Amino acid sequence: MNHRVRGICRVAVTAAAVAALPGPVFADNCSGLSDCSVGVKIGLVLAGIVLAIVLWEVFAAVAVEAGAEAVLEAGAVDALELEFSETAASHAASRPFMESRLLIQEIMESAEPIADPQGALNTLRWDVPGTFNGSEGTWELVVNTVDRIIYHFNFVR
Amino acid sequence: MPLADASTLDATARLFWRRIPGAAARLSETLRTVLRDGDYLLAWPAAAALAPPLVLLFGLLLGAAHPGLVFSSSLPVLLLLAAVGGFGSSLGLLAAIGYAFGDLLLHGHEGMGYAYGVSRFGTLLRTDLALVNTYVILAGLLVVTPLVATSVRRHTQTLVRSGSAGFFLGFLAGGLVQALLAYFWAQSAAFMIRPVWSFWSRAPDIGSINPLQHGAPWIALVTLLAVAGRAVLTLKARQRPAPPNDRPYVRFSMRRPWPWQARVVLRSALFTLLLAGLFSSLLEAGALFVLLAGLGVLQYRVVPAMQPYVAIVNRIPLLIRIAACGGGGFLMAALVVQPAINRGSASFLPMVVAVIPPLLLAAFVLPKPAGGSGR
Repeated sequence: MNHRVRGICRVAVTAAAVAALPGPVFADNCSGLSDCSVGVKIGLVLAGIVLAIVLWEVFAAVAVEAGAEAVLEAGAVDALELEFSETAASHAASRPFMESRLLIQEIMESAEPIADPQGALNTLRWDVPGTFNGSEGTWELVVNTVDRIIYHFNFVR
Repeated sequence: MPLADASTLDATARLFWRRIPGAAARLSETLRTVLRDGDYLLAWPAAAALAPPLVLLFGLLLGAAHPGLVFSSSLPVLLLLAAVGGFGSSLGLLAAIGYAFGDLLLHGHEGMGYAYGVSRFGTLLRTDLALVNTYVILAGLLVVTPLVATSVRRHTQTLVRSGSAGFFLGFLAGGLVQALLAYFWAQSAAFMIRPVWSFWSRAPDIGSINPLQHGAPWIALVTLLAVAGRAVLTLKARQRPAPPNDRPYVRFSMRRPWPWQARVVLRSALFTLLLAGLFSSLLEAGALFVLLAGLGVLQYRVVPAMQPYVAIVNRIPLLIRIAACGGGGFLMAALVVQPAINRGSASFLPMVVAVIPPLLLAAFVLPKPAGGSGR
């Protein structure tokens, strides 16, 4: 038996021993508040209940912030790191899809970019077919991958 | 002999991790994010193609064959479910759906504490609704918690831009947050699953409460280990070439949000259900529903109109605002619940009362956008 296996066995035995040790006395009848709180830090319980509710509250916001779990090769562009240029940001009101980092990530992952046709340094352009609210068209995305700036993001029908 | 050729596996993998999430976006952008959380598996097409159906089947079998009335009747079942959640909210959602169907349709609930000779409607309200409540609670561990951790991880990785340091710090922060939330979940779930018994005016089965109260540290530990496993897989995935995509196509929908009134009613109903284990009468449930609806009006209509307050509060990181609400719960427990316990109170009403101020705080620190994305 090599050292690594022995080490794993030791950890497993220790964990089992710790688990088997007598723990604090817990509730033996949960029909009432006092009975159900024996051996329990009620502050943690109530904080947990509040969190259980609040996390459902913010679930959609958290999802937007989570963005995409990028299936990235090391060094690839991560949508969460990008910022909009002032010009691009000025279109946000009329292009509500700009708030979705997941959409930006999907566009970047779905096709190979080309060098920016206008010749901007370190800048790539994606033109990807797709739909927005059911309408067919093309997603256009132009990103400076070094400065992490989105110069252009639009859906053209 | 291979089970399927490479192109079939690639197509199946993309179906599960790209096309289905893309189609789900028509229902909800949040659902799309959940279904993609775990797509590091795409680096291994066979795993990406097989994991979703296998996890669904795994959940179904656990739901059908778990001992006792609910998932918490067995610590090993809890630990297995927690481990799945550690690998992402998509697999967690599939496990929760599988468990719900297995438990509701295949698990024998007869003769396990339920009364006989009750009308179908009575069973629907008392048995099935209580079970649905347990599935929502389970989804808190398997779907909500991993997505919050993903959000924390991604933000940490964005803040610490340097490659490997950011990667590991991100997973460390996300893993610790997920483990901590799993610990809190276990503590609170012990109280929130009570409707399975309390709807029948019975005392809960302590064998289904203790694994949550006693096993909380183990649930947190297993969650942390699973997140570590996910980190290893994600690291290996980043070292592999990006999966091929011979049909680039991106669908995106922005659904018109539901009317705010409908969202307030729905969230009030959901939260009343989550807290149902603390009520001793329908009157208490009705009163809380009305109170929650009032808080919803505050959150959706009154507070969003309070500019520039909203702009200022939105600058505070979301995690800190969430933690403040949890801290409010901790404080209220000391002020309201612990004294009631010291008096030997049997009623759970002090807990319901203590939950209101932190939720009032949430209405002010987590205002909904005035237009409401509702996605």
